[in-house]
Amino acid sequence: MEFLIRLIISTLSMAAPLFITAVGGIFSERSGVINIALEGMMLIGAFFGVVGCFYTGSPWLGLLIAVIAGGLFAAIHAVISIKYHSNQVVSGVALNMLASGLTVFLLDIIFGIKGTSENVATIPNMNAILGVVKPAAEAVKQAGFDNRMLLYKALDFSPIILIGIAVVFIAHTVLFKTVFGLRLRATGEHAKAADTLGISVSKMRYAGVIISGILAGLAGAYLSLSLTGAFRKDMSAGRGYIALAAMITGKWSPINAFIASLFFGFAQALEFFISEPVILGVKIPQQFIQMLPYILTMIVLAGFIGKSVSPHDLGKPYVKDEKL
Amino acid sequence: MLNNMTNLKLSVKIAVIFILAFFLMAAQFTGAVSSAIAGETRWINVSSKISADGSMTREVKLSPDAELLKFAKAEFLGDFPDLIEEKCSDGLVKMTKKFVDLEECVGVLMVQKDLYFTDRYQIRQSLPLYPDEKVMRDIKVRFEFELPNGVIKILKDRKLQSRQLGSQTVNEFTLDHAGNMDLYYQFNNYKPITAVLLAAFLIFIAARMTRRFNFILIPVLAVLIAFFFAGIAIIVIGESPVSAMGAMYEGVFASRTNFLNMLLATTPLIFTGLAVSFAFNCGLFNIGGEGQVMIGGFAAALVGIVGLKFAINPMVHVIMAILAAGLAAGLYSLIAGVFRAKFNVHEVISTIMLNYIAYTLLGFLVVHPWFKENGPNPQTPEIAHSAFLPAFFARHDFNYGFILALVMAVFMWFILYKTSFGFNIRSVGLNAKAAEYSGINISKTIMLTMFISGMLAGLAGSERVMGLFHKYNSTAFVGYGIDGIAVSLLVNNNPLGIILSALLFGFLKTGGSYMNREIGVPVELVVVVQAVIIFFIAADKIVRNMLNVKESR
Repeated sequence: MEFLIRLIISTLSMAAPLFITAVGGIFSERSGVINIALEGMMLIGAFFGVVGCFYTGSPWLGLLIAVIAGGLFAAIHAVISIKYHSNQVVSGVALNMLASGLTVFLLDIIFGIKGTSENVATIPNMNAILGVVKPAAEAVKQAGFDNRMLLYKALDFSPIILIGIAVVFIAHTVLFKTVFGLRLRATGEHAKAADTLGISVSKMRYAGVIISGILAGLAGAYLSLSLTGAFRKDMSAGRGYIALAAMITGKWSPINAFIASLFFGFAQALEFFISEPVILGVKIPQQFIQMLPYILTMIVLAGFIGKSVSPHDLGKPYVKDEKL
Repeated sequence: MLNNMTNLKLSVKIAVIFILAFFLMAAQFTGAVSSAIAGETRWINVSSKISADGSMTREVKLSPDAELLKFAKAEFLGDFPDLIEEKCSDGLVKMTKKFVDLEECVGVLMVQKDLYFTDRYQIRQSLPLYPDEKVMRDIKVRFEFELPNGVIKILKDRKLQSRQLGSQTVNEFTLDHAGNMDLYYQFNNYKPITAVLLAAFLIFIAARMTRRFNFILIPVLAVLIAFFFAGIAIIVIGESPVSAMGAMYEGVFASRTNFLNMLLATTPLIFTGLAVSFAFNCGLFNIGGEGQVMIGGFAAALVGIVGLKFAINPMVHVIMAILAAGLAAGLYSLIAGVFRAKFNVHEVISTIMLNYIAYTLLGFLVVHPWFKENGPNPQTPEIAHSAFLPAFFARHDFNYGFILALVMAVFMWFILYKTSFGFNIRSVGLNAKAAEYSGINISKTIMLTMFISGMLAGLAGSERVMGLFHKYNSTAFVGYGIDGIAVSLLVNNNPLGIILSALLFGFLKTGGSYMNREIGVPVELVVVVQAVIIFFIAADKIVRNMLNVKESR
């Protein structure tokens, strides 16, 4: 029982940054803007979360600042790819580079240390918020029954995970059940048609990209304010790209991406429990499990397991008065 | 004609604004750098006059505090018994010592002949930690060096890092209570920055006037804008952009070693830049350079290790290792090509995924007992000497890989612009539909292009392994592939232009790390500059609007 709880919580903690970011990516790409800058946006969120917390002293304010920073950072991508019709992949590469350089540069200036920030207050876990105290070991022994211990352990996760799961379902509702979602998807599928129907393509795309930045910022803040309590150089460590993989594997749908993220998170969490899993008598090295998300994405993309098709107008800048 | 004139006026205006802005920043900050003094500061003035014959007279002036005197005697005058102590009229104490030659200065100053320039000396002023915190608090030391003009360079120590200064006379240290020093000094060397700005300005004007070289304007302006942002960032952290630029210049041109370091840093950038550019000409965006460089490097290391068991002719061995690197990386990149051609999977996504597959795969291979050297580090054993890329000079790793890079650049230009295969590639890049109707086999072209592109990236890995590291190490290969994107985009993916653009980024990298040691500007500023350059290349509409240049296509 206890093992199961630990496994579920580890899976969720590893998956949370992935599905929050992936849902953000879905908003951006459904509106027709390629977003490979998710990695950089996460990094910016992680950094400004720590900086905000460092100056205000409150991790919740840090979280807010991280989300705002992520949104603003995404706005750069939005302006360059929507207003100036530039190559969205190039802009994304530049943003990732900027994020990785800028955070370390500012880290050096603000904290005066190379590579890692000072420790800041972290966001309290659910058990602390709900006031569930860890029972003393002797009390547990005396009672002979560890219900309270179990409850304590079952609530030992960050509230951001709950926010993230809520975000997944809200995003699903917004995308597929509201007018805004329909318009957003329309601009991504066929911008010209959407424009003809009176939908402002650029407004929808700005919204999509900025939402992606906000969510990536949230995921970044989760990494720095919940998991570690400090910022480390390049701490997103490719999670933005795994989120991209989850988004593609999930066929640009929030709930599918959530499931894919859970699977990738499970693969990552497995490291904590088994150092070298054995399947059919063959030892599987750790690195092959880490490789899994990427290989799975390639397979899904190639169409071996249910073809994943991107929004039709993805990556095409929309020029309003283009003559045909 | 009228239009031409207004254009010219506009460009002159922009250029003048840039130059003015730079000098404004410079003027403001060269004077005011050391003005931030807190609390009651006690000064130690150390002035040293070094004559051409090598003798040095050192004068130390300070307030008559017993602890301070003891400190100054030990640190700046080497506790020699024969120093002259006298009281000045303003209440300060003056201590003077004449050193007969630079040999005698050891302990006060380290003196060393430059390895490459026989007419120069390097002098290192070091200041070890002083144990007494009370003494160290609120002390500022001002160094003055009077030198026979242009003969001597000064090196200083700060936190055990050596610092090399230009031929300045006034240098100040602040000592904090831990005995660490902050170094303030002024780089009055306007020459490099003026030269760079002037060159950029001239290129700018020439391009505007002739209208034939409009394509140069955007890269030049993008670089200038990026430098401008970097200047602002440097001001924000309280340093002078002029001294930063001067430090970068020193870091590349001050000695032959520094210059060779730059060329060494340039070599892989040419290869990865070519890799990106070759694919881009076919309309493919290969951001898998990272993984391909690693795969190539590992393949080269494997072939190199084979030489430990069998003696192989060096010539044959080097060629074998390079071919293996190119082939392995090319085949790896071909996966993305096949996915694009056969399953219509966008190469950006597949190359990102392949990058991470390469990281993890090589992370596995490099710790596998078959390839790992004995010891704690995850790296292969050193490759056989027969597989070393020969270096040009003794005592420096700069090697013939650079020549190979230049040859490849010319060769790729030839393929792209002078052969029918290259024509096919470019037509697929410009308009795939039209190319298909004109009978070009698109999927074959895409696959071949991706293969060649990956091969070029793999060569970068082989050069690093065979010419510099001499082993495969999983952390040493990060960043080259991404840098290649910046290198290629800056010159609109022209293979010949890549040589220049790689030199620029090599300059930024080498000069940047030197600048970091010199005046403490974080080296990541270079990454930021690189990102800003790509931004303005990507959003070339902003730049075009600034310049009033219509799109050429």
